[in-house]
Amino acid sequence: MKSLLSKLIKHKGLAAFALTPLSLAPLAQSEIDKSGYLEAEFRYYPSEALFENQDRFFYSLGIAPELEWTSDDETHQVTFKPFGRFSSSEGNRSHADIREFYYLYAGTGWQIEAGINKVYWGVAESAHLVDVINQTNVVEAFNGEEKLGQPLIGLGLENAYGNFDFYVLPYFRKRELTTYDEPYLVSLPGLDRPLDIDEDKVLFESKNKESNIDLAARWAQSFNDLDVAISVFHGIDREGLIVPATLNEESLGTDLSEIFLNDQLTPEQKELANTGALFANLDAIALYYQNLTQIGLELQYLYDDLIFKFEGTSKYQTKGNYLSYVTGIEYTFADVDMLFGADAGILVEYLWNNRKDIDLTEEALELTNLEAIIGPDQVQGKRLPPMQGNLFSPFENDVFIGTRFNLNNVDSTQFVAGIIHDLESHTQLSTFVGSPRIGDSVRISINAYFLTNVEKNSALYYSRRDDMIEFKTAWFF
Amino acid sequence: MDVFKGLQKQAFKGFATGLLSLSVLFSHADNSALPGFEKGLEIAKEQKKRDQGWVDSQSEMKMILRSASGKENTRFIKLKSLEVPTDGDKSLMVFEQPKDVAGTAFLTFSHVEKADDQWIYLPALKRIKRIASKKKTGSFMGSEFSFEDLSSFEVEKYDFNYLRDEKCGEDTCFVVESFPKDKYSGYTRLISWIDQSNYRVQKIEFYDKKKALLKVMTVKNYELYGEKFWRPTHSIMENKQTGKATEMFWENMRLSTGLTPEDFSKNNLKRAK
Repeated sequence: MKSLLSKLIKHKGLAAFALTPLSLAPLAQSEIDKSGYLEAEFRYYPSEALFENQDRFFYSLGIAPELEWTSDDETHQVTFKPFGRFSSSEGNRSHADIREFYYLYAGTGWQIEAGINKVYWGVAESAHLVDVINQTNVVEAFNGEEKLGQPLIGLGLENAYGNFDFYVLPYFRKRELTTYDEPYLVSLPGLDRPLDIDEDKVLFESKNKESNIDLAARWAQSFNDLDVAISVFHGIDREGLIVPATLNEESLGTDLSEIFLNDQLTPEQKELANTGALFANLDAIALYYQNLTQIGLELQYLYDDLIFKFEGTSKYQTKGNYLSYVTGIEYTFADVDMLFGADAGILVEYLWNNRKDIDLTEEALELTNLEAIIGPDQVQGKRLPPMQGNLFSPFENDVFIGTRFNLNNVDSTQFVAGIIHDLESHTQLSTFVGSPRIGDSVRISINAYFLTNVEKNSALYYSRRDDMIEFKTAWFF
Repeated sequence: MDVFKGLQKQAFKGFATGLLSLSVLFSHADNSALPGFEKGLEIAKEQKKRDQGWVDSQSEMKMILRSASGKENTRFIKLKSLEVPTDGDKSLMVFEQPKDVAGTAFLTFSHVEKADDQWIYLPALKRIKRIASKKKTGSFMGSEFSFEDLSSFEVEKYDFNYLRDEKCGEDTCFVVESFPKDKYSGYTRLISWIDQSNYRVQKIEFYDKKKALLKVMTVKNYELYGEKFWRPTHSIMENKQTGKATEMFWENMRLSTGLTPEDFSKNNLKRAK
């Protein structure tokens, strides 16, 4: 518990910001609505572990209380939704987060909010490309569906011209990755061993680092059966770029990130670089958060029981601009007799991006001015092969097919199954979710993830045995 | 669906309203030759007319789902509706129980001439999703009510046939057949008992696609609001084929509370309580 608290307090900006809802809210007159859930979770990895000392069973407890207060006239609202997870693993999975803690004032046709909140943008199911405000909580769920609370000040306008939302985001939250006992292992092409991500080293393009003030805005409008939204984001990319970070002990503990910052090499390091050991002795990589300007487009068109969806982004960044999109359809068969009145949905989506390969050597050279120090000849022959795409946006040419069943029974039982297939590498990620309610306040869910055909040059290579089955029982109060 | 007059205006009003684009979807036998056609239509129009002008409503609903063996489950829902004189009504439903879906909200703009617009808000993701489905025959939250049963009543959506007068309690009822024009309807016909003193629905029998009796709804305990509008506090839907039943209880019904279209906006969906 102590470590959880200290983790929270560590985010000083976050803590200060979290206090704004209290100072802004008028004294509570109507009563506070208390609810939330307590969750027991058990995770099992059916495939034999790749490395020794890797456990195949993990259990954890999650708690998510929710406190909400709304004034009698429903114009003032304060919401507080903290979250804590206590896991049997030693990684970052034991964590605490303030998912929501904000004050909101609702006028007629407008609203303002301040505090920590979640904002959802987008229409697609298999990837959330335009959804840029909140950091993804990989530790909680690696499918990208869970988000961390984001400190923000927001203004929303709703009128005949559509919905206009403006956000000032005064604090950046980095992506936490280590989930289990072992560090997060990444495969790089040209290296026959896994690399750790050194999560203590976080590099930023922005001089302001975490305190950079990001800006976001979105306009959304419906034209009968067509929904359109255009969004703009300017700030720190929520996705980190992989850069070389640390050399191993034989390399005198050289810290490349220090080199990045100091732009200088010590004589020993220079010698090391000259002998060609620089990249061969790479021991860990770090995440480098670039600045990002993003324009997003969302389109959704309804035709009978069919929804056509398109979601795309154009990203402008120092390390290369690129386009991404996901597009597809969702079709609903309602009240199917053969399925005893269940609703069945079919989802088909195509994912694409034109992100260039990332040349890690080039990254290091640019970041350190290494070439000028050790000379271009020395760099030759010591290069790492470029890495395809990026660890966190692997969907450069993939197809997603999913089905969803709502049984429409008393227990509101749902089944969702999906598969993402990479058309080039043939890597597949399959997911299954099933969740019946028991009684009025308990919900059980079974989630399964399976990775197949993971190639040697895939960033997921050292996760190839990480198939997982997860059982959750949540008690709602 | 004159039949639902009391019930649907209720509060559900417009929840899943008709979804049917009237002009396009109608494909049905011509019922205008039925002997009670004219009188049936008259009754329906009178019923509709008597329930105009309530402006908006707010209420809380408790629903008890009962299995054939008597096992019970409870749901709580908050309802807000706005009368739209020139089109279908707007409605907002927020689930309070079961607790795992607490905060989930449905926003419906029902239309007379085209399919309804409907959105669902998922609070855990803070996501508003648009719903596309014309078929409204599925169960509402596992109950014996379908989305179709909860939709707002429009005279244009049915053909009517007056059958007879019949004693119902202290009152005398019109017994009227109605035939859904919507090809996506789950019913071939409904038989409604409407009291002659106030044109309130007392009972409805629902016949399935095989023309067999599927469900019977009984509406009870009408109360008068604003000296004109009758709203029930209790209704029971019994499924005659499965033995299951659902009871609905309304509490704290208020009409003309001053709701505006902004209360039915997408931003409001996110903060609906």
